[in-house]
Amino acid sequence: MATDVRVPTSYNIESSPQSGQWCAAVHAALIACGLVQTADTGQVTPSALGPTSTNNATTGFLVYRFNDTLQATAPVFIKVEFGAGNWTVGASGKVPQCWITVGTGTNGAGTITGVQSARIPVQMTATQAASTIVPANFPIWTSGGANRIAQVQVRSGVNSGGNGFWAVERTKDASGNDTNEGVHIITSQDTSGTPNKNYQCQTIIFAIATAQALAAGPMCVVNNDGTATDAGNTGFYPWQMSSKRGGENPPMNVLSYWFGDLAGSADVIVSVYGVNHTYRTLGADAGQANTAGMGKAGWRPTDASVAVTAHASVHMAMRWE
Amino acid sequence: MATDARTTALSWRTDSSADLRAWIQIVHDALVAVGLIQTADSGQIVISTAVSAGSPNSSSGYEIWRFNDTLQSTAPVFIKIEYGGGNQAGNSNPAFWITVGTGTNGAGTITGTSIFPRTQMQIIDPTTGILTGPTRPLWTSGAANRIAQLLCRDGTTNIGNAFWAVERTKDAAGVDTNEGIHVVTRSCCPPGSNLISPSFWSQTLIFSITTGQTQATGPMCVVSNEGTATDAGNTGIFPWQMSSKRGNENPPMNVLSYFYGDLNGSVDATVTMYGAAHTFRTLGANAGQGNTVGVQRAGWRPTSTSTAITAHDSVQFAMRWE
Repeated sequence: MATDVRVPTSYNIESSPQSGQWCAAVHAALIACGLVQTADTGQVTPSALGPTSTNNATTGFLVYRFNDTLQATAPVFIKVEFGAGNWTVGASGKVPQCWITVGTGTNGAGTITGVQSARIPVQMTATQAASTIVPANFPIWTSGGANRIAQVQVRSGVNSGGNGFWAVERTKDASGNDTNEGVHIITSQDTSGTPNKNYQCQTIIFAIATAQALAAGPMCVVNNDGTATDAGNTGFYPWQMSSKRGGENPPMNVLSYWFGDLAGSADVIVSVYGVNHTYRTLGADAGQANTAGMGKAGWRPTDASVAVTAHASVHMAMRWE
Repeated sequence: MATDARTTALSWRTDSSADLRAWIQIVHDALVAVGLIQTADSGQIVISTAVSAGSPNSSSGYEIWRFNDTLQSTAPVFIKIEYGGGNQAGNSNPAFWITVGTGTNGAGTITGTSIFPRTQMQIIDPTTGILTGPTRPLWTSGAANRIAQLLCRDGTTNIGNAFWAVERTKDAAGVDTNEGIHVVTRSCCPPGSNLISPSFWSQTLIFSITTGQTQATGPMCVVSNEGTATDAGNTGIFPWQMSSKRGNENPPMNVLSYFYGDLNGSVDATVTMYGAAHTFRTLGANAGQGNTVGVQRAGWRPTSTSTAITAHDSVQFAMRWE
């Protein structure tokens, strides 16, 4: 298990060598946390990732795999593509975007094969053009092991943009142990310059060969109290991931919590599956509004009508150990 | 553990005292049959002489019930049920209210610092105001430590199917704890309304928390975006993600959700919960019916990257049935 905090020299996807500086930082963090790069052909040299100013255009990809004992019998491969999103700040200024595809194999040339996820975009929108972002204010946080990975890029607890997040881990048994049955994938991105976090999640079961649908929203329902505290403890909400076979045991890469109960950028101890683990809060930092950081990480039933809104006060924490 | 299915020989309506008494009586008898205990609180309704309240959203009387398990002596649970009429013109449709707490004052008032607020459930028929009893049964499942009840079961429309359930909180193995209760209710229309808009209200009350516990208005369940949940001949179900003011709780066992299309309504299915096999009865649309009937909208289905989702008609509901 490892955590990694690093600051890329630049997030500028429209110029070279800055575009490579972003890609190199992401790559180094993934390796530092335990993923293994495959030998697939066609992969970009991270520091040489080319620039682009075209909406939703990629300029290179990297392929990784898990490195745990289950990899031999239940392999997990992750393709990460790098490029520009469709969000433009001002007259110019594209924001960086990754695309994540997870599956059980590759063709050796960068195409994910076998049972696989959707190709999920993770756009790192900010309220300023990527070319003018001060990276020191928007670090990359990564946490992983041989069997999991979670990463937030352009992290900001004071800004409504940024915070492109993605995480992959194996499905769990009732005790929280990895199983060889599938993977949970959780992503979040801004699709506009407003604080409008959009979560996309998918649990893929390897034994199900037919298409498995992407869920577009946080897989978490919270209470209607607006807070979760008792006897000096703060309450958290595991995610209720489900697959084509029904409800699954909760993932461990993420949790949700109430803004107001905890400031963002804090490391807290949480008991999950009966064992203490460390999580880092990704919500608004102290003194910031609830719309900063990673909000809308849960559905809050507040009205007897038939529609609810993912609530800005429900924030997300990532496993941090 | 017991199940009970019975019908009223008359109709599910309230403007006739005979009808009113008939459906109150079967509710009462079913609660006794599955294990609840009526208290000695004064002022409780005498069913044989109950009369229609004569005005919308009014009660004709109440009963007080309690659990009968070993935890009752140290972590008591009391349930007040008020019987009456809803919001339909002419006060014709049945309504009832439940209030749940940790004590009573001996005269029909629920007491305690943790109270599930008085919540109305209605059965409504916008066309005729008459819901024939024999074709719309009362289903009850319970024991000394839990109760789940569906009034006016109908898998062919969405105008009946008033549901309520109370059970104790669970530990990680599914064993009752003395910490609190899960309450789940469902009505075919919101309180004080006669518009058909199936709605859930639920709450997990923790006895040690004395302030600020808020009722949730919606199903506490997120389902996949598949529209189905089947694999290797098995059908997938979705436990409810109940939470309290202290955070997430272990799932309740009175209720589950499932996808319309995977199971017909009015079916008894074996489901593994907390590692043990249990029987649940599906409350969704019966075979051949559309997904908008029965007990639908029992979960949020994330189908769009927009920031609002709708409790989905295709997500149906099952009650523990054993």
